[in-house]
Amino acid sequence: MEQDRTFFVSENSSDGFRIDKIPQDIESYRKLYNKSLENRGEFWKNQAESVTWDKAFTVVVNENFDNGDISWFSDGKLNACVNALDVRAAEGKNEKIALTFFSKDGTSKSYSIHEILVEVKALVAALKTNRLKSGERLALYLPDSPESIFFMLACARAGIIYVPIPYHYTAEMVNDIIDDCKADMLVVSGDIDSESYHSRVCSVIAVQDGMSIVATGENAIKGTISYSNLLSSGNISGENYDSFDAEHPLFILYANSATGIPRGSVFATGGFLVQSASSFELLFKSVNEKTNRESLVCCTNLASAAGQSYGLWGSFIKGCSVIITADGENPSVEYLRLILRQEPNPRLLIPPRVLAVLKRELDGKPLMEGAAFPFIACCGDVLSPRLVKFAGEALATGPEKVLNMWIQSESGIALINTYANDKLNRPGALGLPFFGIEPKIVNHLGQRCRPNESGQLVFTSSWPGMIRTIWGQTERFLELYLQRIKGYFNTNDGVRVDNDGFYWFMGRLDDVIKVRGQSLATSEIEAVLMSHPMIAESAVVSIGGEEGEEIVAYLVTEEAVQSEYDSVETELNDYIIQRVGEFAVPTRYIVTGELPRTRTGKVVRRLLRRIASGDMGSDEDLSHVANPEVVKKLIKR
Amino acid sequence: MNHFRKVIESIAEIGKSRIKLSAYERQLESAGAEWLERTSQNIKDTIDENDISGVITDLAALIESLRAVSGVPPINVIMGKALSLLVDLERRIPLSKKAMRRLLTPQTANRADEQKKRLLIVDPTHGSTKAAYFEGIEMISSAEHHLLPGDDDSIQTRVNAIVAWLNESSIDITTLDGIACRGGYVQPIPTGTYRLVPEMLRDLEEPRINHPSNLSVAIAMQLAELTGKKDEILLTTSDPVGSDEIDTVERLTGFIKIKRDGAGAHYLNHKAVRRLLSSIIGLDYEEVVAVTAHLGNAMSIVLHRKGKITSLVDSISGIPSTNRCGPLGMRQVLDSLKTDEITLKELQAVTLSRGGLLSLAGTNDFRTLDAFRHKGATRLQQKKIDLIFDFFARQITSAALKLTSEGKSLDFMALTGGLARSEELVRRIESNVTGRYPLVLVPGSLELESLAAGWLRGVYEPETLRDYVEERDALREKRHEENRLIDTVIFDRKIIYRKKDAPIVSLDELIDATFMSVKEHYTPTIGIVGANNEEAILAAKRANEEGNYRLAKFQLVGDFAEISKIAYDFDLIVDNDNYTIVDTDNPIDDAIKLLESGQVQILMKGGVKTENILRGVFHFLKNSGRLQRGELMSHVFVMDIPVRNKLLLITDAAVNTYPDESKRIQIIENSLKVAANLNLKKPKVAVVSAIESVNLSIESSIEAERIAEHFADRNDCIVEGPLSFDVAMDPDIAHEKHYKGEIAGTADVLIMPDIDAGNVLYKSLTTQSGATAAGVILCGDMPMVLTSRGDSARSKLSSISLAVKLLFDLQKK
Repeated sequence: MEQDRTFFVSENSSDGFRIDKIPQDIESYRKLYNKSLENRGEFWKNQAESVTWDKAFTVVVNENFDNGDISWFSDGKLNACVNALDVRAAEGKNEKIALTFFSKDGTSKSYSIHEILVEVKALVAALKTNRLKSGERLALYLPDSPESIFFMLACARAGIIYVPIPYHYTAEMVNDIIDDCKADMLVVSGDIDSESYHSRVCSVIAVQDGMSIVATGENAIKGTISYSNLLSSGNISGENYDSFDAEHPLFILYANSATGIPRGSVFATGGFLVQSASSFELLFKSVNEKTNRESLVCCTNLASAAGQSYGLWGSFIKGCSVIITADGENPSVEYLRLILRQEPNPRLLIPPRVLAVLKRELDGKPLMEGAAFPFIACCGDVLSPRLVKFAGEALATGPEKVLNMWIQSESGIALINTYANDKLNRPGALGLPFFGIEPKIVNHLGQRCRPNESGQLVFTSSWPGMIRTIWGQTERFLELYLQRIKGYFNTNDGVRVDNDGFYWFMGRLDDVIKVRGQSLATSEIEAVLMSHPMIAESAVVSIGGEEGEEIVAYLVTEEAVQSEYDSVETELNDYIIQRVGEFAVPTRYIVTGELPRTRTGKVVRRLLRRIASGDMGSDEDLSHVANPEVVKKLIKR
Repeated sequence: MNHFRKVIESIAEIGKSRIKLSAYERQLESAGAEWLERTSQNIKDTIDENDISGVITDLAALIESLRAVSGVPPINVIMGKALSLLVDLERRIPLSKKAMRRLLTPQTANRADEQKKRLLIVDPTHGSTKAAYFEGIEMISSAEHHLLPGDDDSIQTRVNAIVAWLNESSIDITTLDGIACRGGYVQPIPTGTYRLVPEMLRDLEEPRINHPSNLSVAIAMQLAELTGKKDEILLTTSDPVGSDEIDTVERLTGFIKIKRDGAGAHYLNHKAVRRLLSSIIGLDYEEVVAVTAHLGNAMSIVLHRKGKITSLVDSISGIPSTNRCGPLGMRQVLDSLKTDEITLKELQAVTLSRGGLLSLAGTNDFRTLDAFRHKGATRLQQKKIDLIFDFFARQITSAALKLTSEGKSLDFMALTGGLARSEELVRRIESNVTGRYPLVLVPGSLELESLAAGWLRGVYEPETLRDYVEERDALREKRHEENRLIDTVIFDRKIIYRKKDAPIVSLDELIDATFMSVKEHYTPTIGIVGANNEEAILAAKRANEEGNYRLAKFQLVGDFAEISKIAYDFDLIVDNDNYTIVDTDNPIDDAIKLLESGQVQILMKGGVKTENILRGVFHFLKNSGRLQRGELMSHVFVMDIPVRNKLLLITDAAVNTYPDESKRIQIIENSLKVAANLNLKKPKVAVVSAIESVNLSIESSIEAERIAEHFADRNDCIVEGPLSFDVAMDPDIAHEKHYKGEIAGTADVLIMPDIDAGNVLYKSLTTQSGATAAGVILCGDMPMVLTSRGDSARSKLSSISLAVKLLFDLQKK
């Protein structure tokens, strides 16, 4: 009950608290940040003004971490696509370039706002003609391209929930996702010269018998409607648009969770738009650039949270031209040089993993003499100091221009980030909390960690752009994000915060297991095991076995297991198969009275892995373990 | 002079009155004892209320007048006996109504007696559930329901048993006005009566201590459901075993890491006895100062002061009982553990369930023991049984008296619980207490009555009901504050004195001495080369945490993400001061750069190959002139062997594989630097071979002689060779073998012929005789640390200490 928190728009808040510019030093950042927390409702209400509402909202937020009910701006109405296109057209920017696509052959094609709007309206008409209605799902299984963006904008315009699927997902995963979200239409690409993508598409088409499947590009694929045919089928006007509730789902993002039961994170229109726009404004526009045309090279897949928030919605709403390439997430050195030659001072959004590849390829040389990216934003994995140094020297004009963003698929938008400013940037740091966001680092007992003491990253309150639920699986949503440490939004990241308030990533709390080329976090199996009434605690680790990785589950049972051990094992196996999938069934269960922990209560997974693989001596240094006798017992076994 | 005369005069006057007084005291003692004895005999088997009431009136008058002259032993003795008899008589009056009144204020008792509210008491114990049914202050019936073999010990089984009993006794569960239960190990709270709240259930999901009464809250709540009016009736618990209100000073022990708490006392019964006796004697319940001892299967003894139980001897490990061993001598326990005479498991067992009387006599029943003494025991066994009774009586008395150590005089001391019925035990305790305080017997327990009284107070004096969550959180906060006080650092480092420049004889001393050198010089920085290595990180962690002081700072050179992850897993605080991560994919080169720029002074091997790091360091030192021509890099182990009274250096067991004669001379020179650093004035260096005389067929013996020859005219060391290991290490053997040299079993340094011999020796010492090794590689003026996974925490810390201390010496030169 106490968890239910609501902020209403107050009557006299017209000249309220607003942040337009990023502070230039840590002290003023801190003041502003604290103010944004004290006036959290006010802050977000004002941020929401950067979006055009068809009907104003009166409630800012209503949040309850006990039952997972979270809504932002819930009684407001808006249309996302209108915000991205019509609003800008009305500002007289019809001819402004909003999108540029670089093809494989090095040629590029640009689209103005007007051109995109025409295309999108035609597409809306066609979708309506094909009886796709608001609230239904349309899945996109194609590489980033102008067409994929047209589809996303058109869906948003018509209230259709789009489901972008990364195009490297296997056919099996795509089929699972389509079945899970019950998509009514699928869009694939006919233009890809990748043999493997083509065969995956074909097997999806074979399974999804009877579904409308659209293929973009020149090459026809059997069993599909071509994009041009789809467009010409539109005989209903796409001119008018409807307004949707702020909480109307905008899109669903499916996690890369192997073959199990798919997990689709649902994002709401109003909150996602507001936070994308405000985060884009404060992060990406905080750099002084002397250029008329703002552009962003998006090397992050659009079928990801970062792609959606910065590569699509943030850019479009904030009038920044988006550049995508046929190389997608893996831009070659040549491509980047080409872009730098053609585009004046573009910003770069890129995963650190790709930076590491570029570092190897460039081998100490700068990308281009005399030209550099004014600003590079990274997200996706650990951005180590040496990559910052490399990117600062070889791609940008200094290490402070390389900023890091902490985004996870469930966060939607960067919640912690550095700024392109030497006072607010530290190589290797995750960064500072974004305004209005309340991260906290807690130990196993839920107590706040002291500075530099590492613990689990949680969030004490909601944010507009966050995941609202897992499509069709509210229980799982609660299990994964809200129940492990009650009262907080949980993550699986271990972090610390230094004396100045910078957050630093230390490591994941769980193992990531590779199964059939896909990855699965052991925390997912743990969450399921712990929801079983017999299990009090569990720690799942992976070890290298003879046939790839083996999953070993350590269990602390509620009471001594009295029934036959085998039957317990069978029961737990069934339980996991039902909830995650067959592949997640542990090879071994080890029942223990306690899990070995450090003095701050962290489960010592390294030891558990070594114990499971039999790589433990009998008198090792266990001084870091608070309960070494548990380890000794486990070894004896 | 004047004062002195007054002193003498007063003493004389006191002496005169004393003589007079003591005559009366003796009279009181004998007459009182006689009267009490006869009265109690007369009334022994009477249950006639009138007879009893008559005696009660006499006793009350006696107690009243004794109170006025209380304080001296004979009066205390009579007072104790009178009170014991009175308690006994009052409790004999049908169905405890009299005793119940004592537990309540007269107003509450009267109202309760009129209204006759219906109350169920639930008290789950090991293997059974006690239940009682009250109407007002009258206990109408009570019963104990044993779990049958095969029953699972669940809440449901116990609930079912109570429901069945209520049905049998024709008590309609729906007519109940309330339920009172034992409470269990909820989170620590002050004593008192609490309304049952769901929060208790949550806290009992993970109880601090397992105890059957932990089930009682859930049982009471389920029964409340069955009444069909759970929201209307009052559910309470009083003074649960989980209570805790001890004083701050009681929380200390002689070891900073262990704090005491108030867990493990029969709070409910202790407080009931206090209430009962304060009422009888006419004392203010809130102001009474008293010690009550609950003597049952488990024993607990507590001090009541200012309305609280401020100090206690707990039932878990505070005192021996029928099946718990109580406190043991730590020295003997440690010795027995060390020699495996007892195991940790066994220790746990005797502490909780297999110790005490059971361990001493093979029974956990004092009555059996007493009966056997009179029937069947041999003379020797009789003697032992006496000894056991004496032992328990002394333990109980001394524990009770220990609680008076704060200095306040007691209003009374009471013995309660089942064993207060044991005449053998009580008689001994009485004679131990010798009239220091009135000693009152309240045999058995008042737990059911006390639960009922708590509930009745809750009904008629609702202000007495306490709020669980509020009290729990307040106490938690208070304890937290106390902990801050207790954990306040006075000296941040233990101060131990040692003569400066005395030879260092143990690795512990080495660590201490290093700390002192660090204070004197500066805190050096160690670069861990390839810090994405668990062992190295653990060692570095030790160096900063051991005893809360700092030996060195660390630069962790290697992959940022991997190092961060290990730091996370091991709780290493990366604060960019003590620990800084240097992100690189080329750790050896970058570490040497740090060395070159002076940012680090010592290198330590992490996850890189030893030969690679040595090669890199060699080139660097050579080029920068820090390794002179002819100087060699070599490894030295410093061993702390339990049976020896000094340290032993072994070299080279790690770096130089098969050194020739000139290299071995360099190895000796290096080891002398380490020896000097350990304050060994004229170290005895033994060049080891298989035998102690030159034998042409053993090459190492010939070489050893030449090496010794090389050092013959040195006066900063004694180098002898060849020596066999036993002659170098054991004076007796050296004597037996008529060894003529100076070393004769007292070697400080062993120069091993090659890496094989060195390594075998070092590993046999560490694995077979409990030795701890510290190791260092001397690289010109830089010591390098190398630890391995097999090393103990102590060994890693010692290695770092050795390197740090050595650094200051080497750089001085």
